[in-house]
Amino acid sequence: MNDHHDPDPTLEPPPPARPERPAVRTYELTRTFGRLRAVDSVTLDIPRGAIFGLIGPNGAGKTTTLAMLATLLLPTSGHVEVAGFDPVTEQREVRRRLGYMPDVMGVVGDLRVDEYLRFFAAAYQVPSSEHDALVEGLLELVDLSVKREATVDSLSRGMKQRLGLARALVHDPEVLLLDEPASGLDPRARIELRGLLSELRSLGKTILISSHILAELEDMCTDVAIMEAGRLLASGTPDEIRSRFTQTRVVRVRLAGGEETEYEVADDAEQQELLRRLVVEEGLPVLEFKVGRVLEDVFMQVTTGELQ
Amino acid sequence: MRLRTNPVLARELTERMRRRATPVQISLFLLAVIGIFASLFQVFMAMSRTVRCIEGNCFEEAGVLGFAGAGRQLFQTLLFFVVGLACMIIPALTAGAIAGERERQTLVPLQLTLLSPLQIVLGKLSASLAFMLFLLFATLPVLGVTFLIGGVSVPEVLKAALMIVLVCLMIGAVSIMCSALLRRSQGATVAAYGLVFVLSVGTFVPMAILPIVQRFESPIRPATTIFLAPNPFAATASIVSGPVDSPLVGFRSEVLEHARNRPGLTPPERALARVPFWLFSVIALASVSAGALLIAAWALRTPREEP
Repeated sequence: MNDHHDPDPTLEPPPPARPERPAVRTYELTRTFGRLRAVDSVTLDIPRGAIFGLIGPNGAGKTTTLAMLATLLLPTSGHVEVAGFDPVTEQREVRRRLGYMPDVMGVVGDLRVDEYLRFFAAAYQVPSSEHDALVEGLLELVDLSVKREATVDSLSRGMKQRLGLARALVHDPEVLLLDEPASGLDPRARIELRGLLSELRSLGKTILISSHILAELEDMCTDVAIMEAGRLLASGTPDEIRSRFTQTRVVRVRLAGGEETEYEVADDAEQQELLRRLVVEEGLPVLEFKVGRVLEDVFMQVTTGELQ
Repeated sequence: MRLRTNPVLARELTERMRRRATPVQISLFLLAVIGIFASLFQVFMAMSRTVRCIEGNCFEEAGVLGFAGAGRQLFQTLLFFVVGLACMIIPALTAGAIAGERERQTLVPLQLTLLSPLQIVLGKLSASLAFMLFLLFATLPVLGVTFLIGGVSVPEVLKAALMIVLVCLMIGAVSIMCSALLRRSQGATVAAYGLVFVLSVGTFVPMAILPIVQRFESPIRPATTIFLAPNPFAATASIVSGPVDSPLVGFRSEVLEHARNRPGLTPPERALARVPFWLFSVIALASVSAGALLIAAWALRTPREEP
């Protein structure tokens, strides 16, 4: 579609990356709409290579936070940095290093899947000589190679999410912002998406996911933050959060006869000791040994359901 | 520096030419032009015939001069219709360009690329205008018939073509501005038609008001005609010539020329009258286009105060 998008040699080269800075940093980030404080003094530090889950109910301020990181919305006050660059004053540099996937793919029209990716590659000034290999690689990564010539609007929702992810990756960004990526997906598509995000992390990407599906995030995130009514209630690794807010965790044990029992344990060591005792000492036919969702418990404990 | 295709333009053209409605639109446009042409041809050829009687036998004949006059009239009247069609078609093609992306929730990913707001606006505008120019190009064989009849010079056709391109640019720029400023494509389309109406008809209002305010004895004076400079029809009328009446030539001689050649002009008016009207039109069309495009680009800037 485009054959003339090699970088313009007359343009100044972009400033070098700033790998010494965190992938995302916000300090006292605030955004108000009239009297509503949609984001209220949020301070975050997301290390490079992390999969960071931003959890919160609808209206918590997650999407507004992402919009400020993505150079879409001006903060009312506070400071924000993405890949070491300021989205307000250095938006072009941020865009070179940021891939953003909104919660809705939108209605694309009559473009084919490969044309869609080529268009975004051209819009991100990827040299045209690299388009073929790039599109091929991305379609393979998101498992859409067989749909190369299908129109975008003919794809299922799960496929569109994967294509949206491929689009966000077209310029090989350092940081990915994914707004509710699993929303509306069936279980299979969610599992595929989880595998894809793990693969991206292994490629060195920093991923910030906003979601309200806690079970998904608990399994894949290295760090999480809980937001409600614009405020950050807690942040850290899942273990840190758990130890800060809960003294015990619930383990559900189901025996072969169908009998179910719940135990409370304090930590991993106590959990292992429980399993050993049940199986080895008591010789019980344990069919299932399941740890309760920590994030869900913490989330219910720290949030109040408050709406602004 | 290598010439670079605007990716938005390339995408829009790919999508537009793939739509099933496109060949239908082109066919309908051509049918309309051919219909208008055929009707006008019949009318002007009939008007160019004279009845000649020799020894009691009377017959109709169309002399070379009559044909030439008919050719000129046909060309100028077709120009009038082409400008009218541009006023009707371009807002419909353009006003949904950006508002439609917003409605389909595809604007944000586009804004987050390395394309500047002006590049996005120019890509959208050039795609709409390219289609309109494609339609005009498709009418060239029809316009070419006027050459066969005679009475039209190549420079006149070129001047008319350039002015029509400028008129299309202005209508497109105003429509894309509405598209960038308004959230819904329906609202943007209504606003675009409203502005085109103001440019085509509303620009006559100063001719009605200024003489009352400034106590002119006639509304047709150089100062009042200046407001007509961005008017698509006045701009096109300013570059046609010839003694034969057609809507454009009639307008040119009755309004534009009359205002400049009337007796009793003040010295500043005489100075104003010395500048050719087409120059005012070119400046006005270019200024309105540039202003509208800058406003459209401003409306797409990010980061924004409001989501």
